[in-house]
Amino acid sequence: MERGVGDGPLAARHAVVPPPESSHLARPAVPLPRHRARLTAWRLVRRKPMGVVGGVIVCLLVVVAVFAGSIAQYDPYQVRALKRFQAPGTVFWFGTDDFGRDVFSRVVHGARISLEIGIAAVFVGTSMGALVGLISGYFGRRTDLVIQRIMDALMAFPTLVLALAVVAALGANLPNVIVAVALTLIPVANRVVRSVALSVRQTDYVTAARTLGGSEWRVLFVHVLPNCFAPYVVIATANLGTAILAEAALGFLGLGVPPPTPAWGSMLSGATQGYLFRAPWTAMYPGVAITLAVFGFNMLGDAIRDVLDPRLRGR
Amino acid sequence: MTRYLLRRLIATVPVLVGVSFIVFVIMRVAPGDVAQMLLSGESGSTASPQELHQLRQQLGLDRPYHVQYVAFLAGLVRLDPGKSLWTSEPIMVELGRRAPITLELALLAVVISWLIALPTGVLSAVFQDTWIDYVFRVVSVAGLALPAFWTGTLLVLLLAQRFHWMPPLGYVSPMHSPRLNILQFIWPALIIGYAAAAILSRITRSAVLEVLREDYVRTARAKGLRGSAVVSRHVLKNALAPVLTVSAVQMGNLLGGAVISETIFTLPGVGRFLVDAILHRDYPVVQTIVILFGVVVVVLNLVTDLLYAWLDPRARYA
Repeated sequence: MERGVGDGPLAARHAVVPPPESSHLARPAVPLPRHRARLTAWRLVRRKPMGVVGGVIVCLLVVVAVFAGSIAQYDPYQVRALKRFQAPGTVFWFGTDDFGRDVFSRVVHGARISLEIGIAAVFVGTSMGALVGLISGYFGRRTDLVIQRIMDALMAFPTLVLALAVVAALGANLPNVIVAVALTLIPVANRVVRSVALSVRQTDYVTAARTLGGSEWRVLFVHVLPNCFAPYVVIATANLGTAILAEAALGFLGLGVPPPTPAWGSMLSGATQGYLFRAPWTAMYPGVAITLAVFGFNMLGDAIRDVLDPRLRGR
Repeated sequence: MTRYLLRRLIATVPVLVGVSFIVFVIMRVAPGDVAQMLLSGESGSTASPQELHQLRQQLGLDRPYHVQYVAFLAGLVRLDPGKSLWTSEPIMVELGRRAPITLELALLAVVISWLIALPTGVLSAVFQDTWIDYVFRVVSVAGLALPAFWTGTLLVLLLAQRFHWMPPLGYVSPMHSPRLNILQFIWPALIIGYAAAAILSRITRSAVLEVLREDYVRTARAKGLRGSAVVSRHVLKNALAPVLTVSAVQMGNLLGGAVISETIFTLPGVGRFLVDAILHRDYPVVQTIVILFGVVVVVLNLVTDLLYAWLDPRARYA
């Protein structure tokens, strides 16, 4: 199920309405007074409370990932043979794992790994899907036919199964996990951007640009591409949660970033397979972190989609 | 309807070819050398060139790509994907043993997802923007955010600590003991079913909201029908078509969920077979299962389209 901007009239609207920020007239001459800015923020909280919650979670996640070294109490790799399976307490806030490593420090550093993989995979997958969709929608005919049949086939695989196949073929390491997750994100981005490109190529200004002698590639990148930015942002934000979840699922199955790297999925996997009953906290905290991250990105993605696409509000 | 059926069937062929092509490209043409990976194993040690050459010959990897692809397709068409490199057993025999387990899990999960999604989605729409709507929407959003592998883990923990229940080690067939079988399947199915219900509930709510604003619903109300009768007789019938479509499309994701659930609850289904095959670098098994999942999804999409056309004749002429 595509969760982003759909086809048809919706895409057409994205295509024909010029982005307001491109106009000098759209910008206020003076900055908003402070009370107006506060009012706008309050309205946003009232209208999109879940989106704001999602935004706050995402901001916290980014802060934790960036300052992981300062926030974590200990080195996430430090093994303590005499401190194995310590319950959560004042010394080790989230307890310790089977190697005596501090779970809190590993969860904090895991945020960095998850975000790195999530952002890289979303950038690669969504950009590739968007580029192929742009070419497919703009050139149409045989190019479109061939590309869309490949996308149909790509969409036939359950997300996790496709990612597993890639990791099986390439091996489980950080770059390959990024490639595996990115591949699963291509079809949806492709479909959405293709629908925008399809409608933009029919517009008068594209015809005019062609008539003035602009080459196909110039028209494509100068006139059609900027219209795909809004749907790209919507899809990319919505995909971040999916990418983090897919990476964690691969890690859980023992096919993600290899140990001892503190990735949330693999932390959960170790706990489940060996010592779940003895030290449930080793599974509890990475799971909470994954859930919060996915929830935050999903909520933020929904809010951004609603703002850019008022037709879907409240649905 | 026959013309539509034929058109849909023909459209499925290129997708199936595409599915086989993608799996072939991923498994054979990708930069990682399968033979090298098989011989180096987990230790990462390098194999001698003779060993590599011998294994490539044995797996047919020394032939040109197009020859390999045709041989690969021929094997698929004959339903003979070969033998497992790990157990040396024919893959089809193993799949025949495991497929019913995954099928039972997926079907049970679909039933559970409908049992959760339909009432919550309809009530959410009927009581739009009330506390009922908010509660069900939060439950639905939670289902989207909660990873199945975490809820599954927590469920095992809860069942073990509170009820001293552990997942049985071996598979219990429904013929042998229906009660034990259901006890074994209900938990993993609940985990996948809840995740599926999260999306389905949103779709149901959306579809019901749309239909509730139709003129004929207003007419039904105006002629004095009770609210529940309007919903059950006039709204549900028309709102169910998109819900059915999404549910069928979700079956594909349920298969992905089965990989996780079968791993947590030690069910020897196709999903568990796939994970084991990847860990053992059993490439023929991996590519067969990945293709099988792809084909199942394509067939499900086809069946959904036909069902949709049967339910809504307008779709046949679209």
